[in-house]
Amino acid sequence: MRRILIGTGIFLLVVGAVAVGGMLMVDRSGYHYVDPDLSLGPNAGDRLKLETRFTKPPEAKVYIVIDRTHNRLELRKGSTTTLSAVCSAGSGYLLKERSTDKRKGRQWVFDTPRGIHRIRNKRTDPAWKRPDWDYIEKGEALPRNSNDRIETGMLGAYAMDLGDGYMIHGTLYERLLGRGVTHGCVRLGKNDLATVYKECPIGTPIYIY
Amino acid sequence: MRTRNIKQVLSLGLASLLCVALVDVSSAADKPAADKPTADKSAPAKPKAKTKAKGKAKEPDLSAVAPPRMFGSAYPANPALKSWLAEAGADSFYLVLDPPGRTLQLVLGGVVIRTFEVAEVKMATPRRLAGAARLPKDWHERVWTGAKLDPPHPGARTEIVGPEIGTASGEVLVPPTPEEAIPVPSMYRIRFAEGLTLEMTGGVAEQKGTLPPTELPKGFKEKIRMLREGAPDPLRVRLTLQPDAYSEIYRALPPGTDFVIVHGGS
Repeated sequence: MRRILIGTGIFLLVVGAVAVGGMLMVDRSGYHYVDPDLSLGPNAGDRLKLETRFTKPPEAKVYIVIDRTHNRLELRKGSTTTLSAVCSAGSGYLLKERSTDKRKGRQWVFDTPRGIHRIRNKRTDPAWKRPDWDYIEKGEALPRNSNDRIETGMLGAYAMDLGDGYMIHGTLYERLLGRGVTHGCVRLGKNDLATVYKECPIGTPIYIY
Repeated sequence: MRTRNIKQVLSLGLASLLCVALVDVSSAADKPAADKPTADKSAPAKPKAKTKAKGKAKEPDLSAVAPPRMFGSAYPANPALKSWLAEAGADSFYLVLDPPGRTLQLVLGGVVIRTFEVAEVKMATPRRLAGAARLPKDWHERVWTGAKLDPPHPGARTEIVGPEIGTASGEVLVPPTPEEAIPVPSMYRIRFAEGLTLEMTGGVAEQKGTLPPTELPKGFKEKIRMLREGAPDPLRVRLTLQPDAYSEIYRALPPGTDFVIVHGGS
């Protein structure tokens, strides 16, 4: 009887020690944290392939990266950043049109679209054809004549079209750079806009995140 | 007699300890990798992996968490890397963790658009009796899809209604800065559809309110929760970042971003 007791005690002691040890090794959250086993990885050749593929954009030497959340624009040549500028991207607001006899109750979201875009066209002293949402936001009646929508001087000295009405252009309100105040376009200060316009040919890719 | 009593007490104590540990393990047996419904609803729809069958599951069986994209043996060392290379030209966002290089990169269309330094990488699995569940064999061969922030960004989209014609005040509505609009919690997670969770640390709290469970009073309460609910994620990767990077990722990470781990051969 005595031997059985002692044997059981030792057995439980060992098991208990293992259990306690195991519990002490885990995080309070119930997880066991370890360093990842790095020895399982691909060989150096794979890694070289990765770096070659992803640190040098294959399709263009010059490209633009825009952080639409923090309102930052970078102009890069390969892996070198040649310009880091403060910009203004979309406000993210949702504009609703009042529904009346003549108005349909449309709505617009003022986001700068994420993804890959390209400069499709470049213009100097661009004119702006005001879209419907600009009239609705300002409480103005829509013009009957299309030519009445044209305004000059609003977009600064240059504009670069990205398609679907989105542009990189200048602004009359440089004090608001750094805040998301636009209707989806990207605004730049005067000097930065001139640099981007000069450095980026048509077809330059733009990566927006 | 006295010695016998001491031994008996010791045995009983150890037996109790063993029972507690066993109960712990059985209670914490893995439940299906439930994806918490706290995600950003604006995340684009992605083809989801098959979820595990409902019901009791004794073992975590991480291999049963269906990967969305598994690839053949042509690239046995790291199929995820091959897939990533193949899809790099697509208009999709990837987070790429390189543990030996200590970097986390945001990639779009094959171009690294942002690189963050990572101070420390830890991988974690739910605890077991003596240690933890094993890492799934193919953890480094998967593309983990559909990033969702937990907690999600606070607040809804601001709505404005166009004024009546001729009644506009001319007042310019100035939106808040990103720092004002999206305060960052002291710890947040990025959950992926297949059960992997990135646990981001290293930042400074900017908001109060809803926080991940580990921000709640720790210790006994947390243990009770774990015993009751089990481990929520089959696999976690804890990344310790610089405060700036920590905040930037929380604010700017595109919803639905995918994730791959590149490793070895540095």
